[in-house]
Amino acid sequence: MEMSVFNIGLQFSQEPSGRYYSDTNKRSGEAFREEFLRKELEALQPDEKITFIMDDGVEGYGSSFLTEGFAGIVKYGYMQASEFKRKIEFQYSDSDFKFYADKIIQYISEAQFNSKKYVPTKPKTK
Amino acid sequence: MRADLNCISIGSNNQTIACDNATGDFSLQSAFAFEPIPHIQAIEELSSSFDQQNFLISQVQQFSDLTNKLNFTIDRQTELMVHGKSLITTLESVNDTLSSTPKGSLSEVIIGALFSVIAAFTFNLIYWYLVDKKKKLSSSIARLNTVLDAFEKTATEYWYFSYHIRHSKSNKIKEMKMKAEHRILRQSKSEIVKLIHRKKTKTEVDAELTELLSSLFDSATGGDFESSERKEDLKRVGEIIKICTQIRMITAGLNT
Repeated sequence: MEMSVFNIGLQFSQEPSGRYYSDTNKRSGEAFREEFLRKELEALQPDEKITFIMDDGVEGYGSSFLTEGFAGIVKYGYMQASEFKRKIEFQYSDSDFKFYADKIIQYISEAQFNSKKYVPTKPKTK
Repeated sequence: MRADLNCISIGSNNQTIACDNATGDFSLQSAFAFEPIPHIQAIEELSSSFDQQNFLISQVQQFSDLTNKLNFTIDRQTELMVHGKSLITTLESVNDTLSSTPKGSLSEVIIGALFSVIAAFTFNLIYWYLVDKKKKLSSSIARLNTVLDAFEKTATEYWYFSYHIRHSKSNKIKEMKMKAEHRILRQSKSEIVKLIHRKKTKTEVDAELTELLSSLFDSATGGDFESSERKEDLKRVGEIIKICTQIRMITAGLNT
């Protein structure tokens, strides 16, 4: 099985925080989902997985970021929870980050598929 | 003149003529003298014999007393001798037991002694290992409670007030503190679980604390956490206080 890797600390932000663009702009969960995660998932082959490196330069995550960033994929109807869970894996050198990986799986499992219409909060660029 | 009577003579009557120097008249004077009688002598002898007999009786009585005392002393001495013999026999038996070497070969004796030393050492080692573990557990619980107090204070203050641009920096500090303190809480939980001796308790406490810390994470960093749109949320404040108290109750139970 092929494997794609996404280093959150290096490729996204070392300080991921907030839910929407309106909160923390480029570091928010919404920004992570819309600008990175969706594109990565769409680029995956049918039997391919993506591995997220969780703790490279990142101190920690908030529930709001994880819910919006990962569970938003299911909530806004981009992918079914079971399929999404099959396609993602987590990697960390600090065992404490297992907690965040478990929380992501929990949020994805609890999310209702396509239960909310996505309304972007990204400020329009002039 | 002496009158002879048919009776027992007990004495004699001596008559004398006396001439008065003044008048020159003569007069006859009689003086009666008693003579010893054999009966009285017999009585006196008998009395003397009684006295001697009484003296002898008292002597015999004293001798009898002395004999009794002597017998009692001899009995006591005999009794003491019997007890002494018994005591000597017992002491000899104790002496034999103490001075004799144990039964079995020398190697058995050495192995037995070695085993006793190893057993004592092992017991000592286990005892101090458990004491040390208990002390470490108390210390870890104290650390968790300190961080929990700090987390509770930060989180309740954060959610008690709405976001305001004027407090954006202090809000940012609180957000960072909450994320860092929650990590330390999880690490403290892992330390505590490792130090719990009983496997059943370890599993139960691990599951309970993991669940509570997970809920605390959701409550404290969920919703509009890190958002400029955040409103005060008293329900969330109540949830945070409740979970922190539940965690304290579990750790208090472990510390007793």
